[in-house]
Amino acid sequence: MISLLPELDLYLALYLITLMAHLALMSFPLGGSVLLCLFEIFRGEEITNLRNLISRHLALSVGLAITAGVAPLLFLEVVHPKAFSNAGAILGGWRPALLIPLTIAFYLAYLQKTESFRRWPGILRLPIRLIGLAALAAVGTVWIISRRVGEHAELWHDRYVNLQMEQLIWEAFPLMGLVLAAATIGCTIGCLWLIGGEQRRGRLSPGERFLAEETLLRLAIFVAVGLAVVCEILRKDRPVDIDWWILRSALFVMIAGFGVRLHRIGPGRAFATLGAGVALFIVLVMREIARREFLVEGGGLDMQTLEVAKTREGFSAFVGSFIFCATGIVLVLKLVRRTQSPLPPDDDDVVVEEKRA
Amino acid sequence: MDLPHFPVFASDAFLPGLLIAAVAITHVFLAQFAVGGGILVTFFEWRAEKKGHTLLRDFLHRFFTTLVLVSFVLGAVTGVGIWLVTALVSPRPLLLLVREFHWIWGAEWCFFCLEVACGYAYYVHGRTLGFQKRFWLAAGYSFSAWMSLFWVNGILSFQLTPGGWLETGSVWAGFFNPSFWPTLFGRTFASMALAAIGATMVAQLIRSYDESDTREIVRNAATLLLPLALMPVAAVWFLAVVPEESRRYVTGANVPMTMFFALAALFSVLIAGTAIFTLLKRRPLFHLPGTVLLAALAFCATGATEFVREGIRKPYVVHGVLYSNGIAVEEVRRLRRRGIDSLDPWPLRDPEKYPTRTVRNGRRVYRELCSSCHTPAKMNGLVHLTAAWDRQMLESNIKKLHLLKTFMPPFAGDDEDLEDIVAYLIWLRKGTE
Repeated sequence: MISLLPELDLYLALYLITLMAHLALMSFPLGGSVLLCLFEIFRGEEITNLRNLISRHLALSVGLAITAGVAPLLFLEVVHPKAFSNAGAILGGWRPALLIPLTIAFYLAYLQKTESFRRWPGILRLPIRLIGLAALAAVGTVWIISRRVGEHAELWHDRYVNLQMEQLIWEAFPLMGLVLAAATIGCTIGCLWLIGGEQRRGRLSPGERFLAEETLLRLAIFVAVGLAVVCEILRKDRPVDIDWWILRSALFVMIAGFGVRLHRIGPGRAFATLGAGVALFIVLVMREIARREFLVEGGGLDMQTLEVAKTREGFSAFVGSFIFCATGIVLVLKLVRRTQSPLPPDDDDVVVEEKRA
Repeated sequence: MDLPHFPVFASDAFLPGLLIAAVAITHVFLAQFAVGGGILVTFFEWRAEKKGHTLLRDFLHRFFTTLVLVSFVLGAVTGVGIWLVTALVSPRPLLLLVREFHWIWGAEWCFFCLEVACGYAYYVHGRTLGFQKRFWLAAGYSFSAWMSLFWVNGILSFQLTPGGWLETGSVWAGFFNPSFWPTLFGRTFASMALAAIGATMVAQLIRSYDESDTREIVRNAATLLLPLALMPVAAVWFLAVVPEESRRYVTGANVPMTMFFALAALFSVLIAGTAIFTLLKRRPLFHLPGTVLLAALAFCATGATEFVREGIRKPYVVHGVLYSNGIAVEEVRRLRRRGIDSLDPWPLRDPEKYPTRTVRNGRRVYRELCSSCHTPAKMNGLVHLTAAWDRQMLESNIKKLHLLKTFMPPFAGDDEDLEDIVAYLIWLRKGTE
């Protein structure tokens, strides 16, 4: 992180912050899809409660994640235009093709939220959940490949002539596995916050809440410890710098937060969220440092666009819009929090109402 | 101009530009439906409260569910899609727009976030809120959706009429360019019309509504079609401010452009006619199949309008600055002196397919200068377009292509590049005989 500080400008900071928001939001549908598949295999009342909770918020979270994903794309184009566009040309139709699994995942998320889907037998629900997960994982895999192609400037010409996509896909799988594990943790944290709201609105009794949280926390601790061990193994032969220490500490805070929450002895949920947030930010910063090093070595770092962009007007319009819209969103959230709403509407409510009629 | 060069994505089978067209037209249609949908929901909320109309209130939830399922999902996905496809097919124009207008795009994103927040809050909690809160959510959604249109419209209209930006380089001069207001008004009217047609369709799809219910909703929705009457004013205003050659394209000089412009106008007249009939007779003109056809007409009108908007810019993608093949106007002279090699260092993907060095270089010239709008021998194929030209004509015509056909960019290569592209075309011709 220290090595990036001299180059840290407004655009890079905005890229990292908005990317973090996008990934944090994306972790809910991605990790949620993993959990939903698992929850189709295991049984229990707390499992059913969790399954319903995640299913109900899946479509909304995909929508929010896509919305949040537009901004990092914009700032990436300013910060790394060559890496982004060259990767696109090298990958050809692969990157636009991700619209297909994204659309499938989005509509399946809406399907999974309906009351009628909840009544399907588990053996029919599982394939749908697996397709949803596979669609989101496919989108993530293409982005991982796009990033790897973009940052290795020394291979651009070779890959433009001979793109070995199969090899790239195989190389991306382990990384996608790590992403899925991390997303599961992210989704768990999201659920911990949502469960509080569920109890406040009377949808869960305190006992049900405790059981649901316990199930999630045990799973999250298991995955988080595993993830931390894998990170240590991956880092084994490399020097340990300050970034790594921050990441370790953040992971420790997160796992400790889960433990505290499990034993209900303090504000564990807040600690877990803080730890996860810092860990995610540090990972993004470390990735950015690595990308810059690769691009500098390969001669693919383009600073000219950024320099020209810095001279352009319109910042005040952005800041004004940001303040206005952020205030608006806070007001909307306040309004929503105050509303003692029943379950979010299901898309087959219309049909149900018609049948009643 | 100082734009970096990117490798070209070329396909021998289809025009990459069609990818942009397919995704962009779908997105514009859905996004305008979302903007108009917001206005319609706010209007219905107000009307339902004012007249104590429970039917309109009941309809609102069903309509908004459709809006969420269609526009929030496909609109969001195609929005990302435009970005990805444009980065693939036209990376240089995209970078120019991002470099100049990134803060404007950032502002648009802020309003997009507010739109999504208000929209989902209305969708999830709308039925349990009182009128005042529900109305403010609908109004917030409507305003933020329209503001998204406001910001994006400045960037899109800039491409045809960069205005004062050309002299001053000022972002605001480029944003509030000569065609900004007419296109903003035109898009707003079109959005309202799309929402009215969408509402008519949803009303006719609800089985529990009897004919009088449907009539009532359609009659209210048709009010939003009325601003279409002002569309001719926006169109005339637009034509008055576009560059002279663009105006000539739609007034006869370019037959496809004139036809598409006329089609867009005809479809708009048909839709406006439907509105007038519906309001006068207080009942829908068509049953469901007719309404679906009307929606299809609206989609075609959107497609035709977007096609004209893109087409009349030619040979530019940003008027006076960048040609449609991504070559900057100020680069042409240098490229004529130093050749394509000085711009494009990327190797060929399949060099073994081309027999000689000349043909290979000709292929590279094609890739750089022609592939954005032409395939070698399929869609808009060079072989077919130049079939009647002998070698001498090929050389002289390609060299003065921008004079021969005003919508073509000038040939931006040196003498060797010219010889090579001619050799490539002759080699292609032999292969297709």
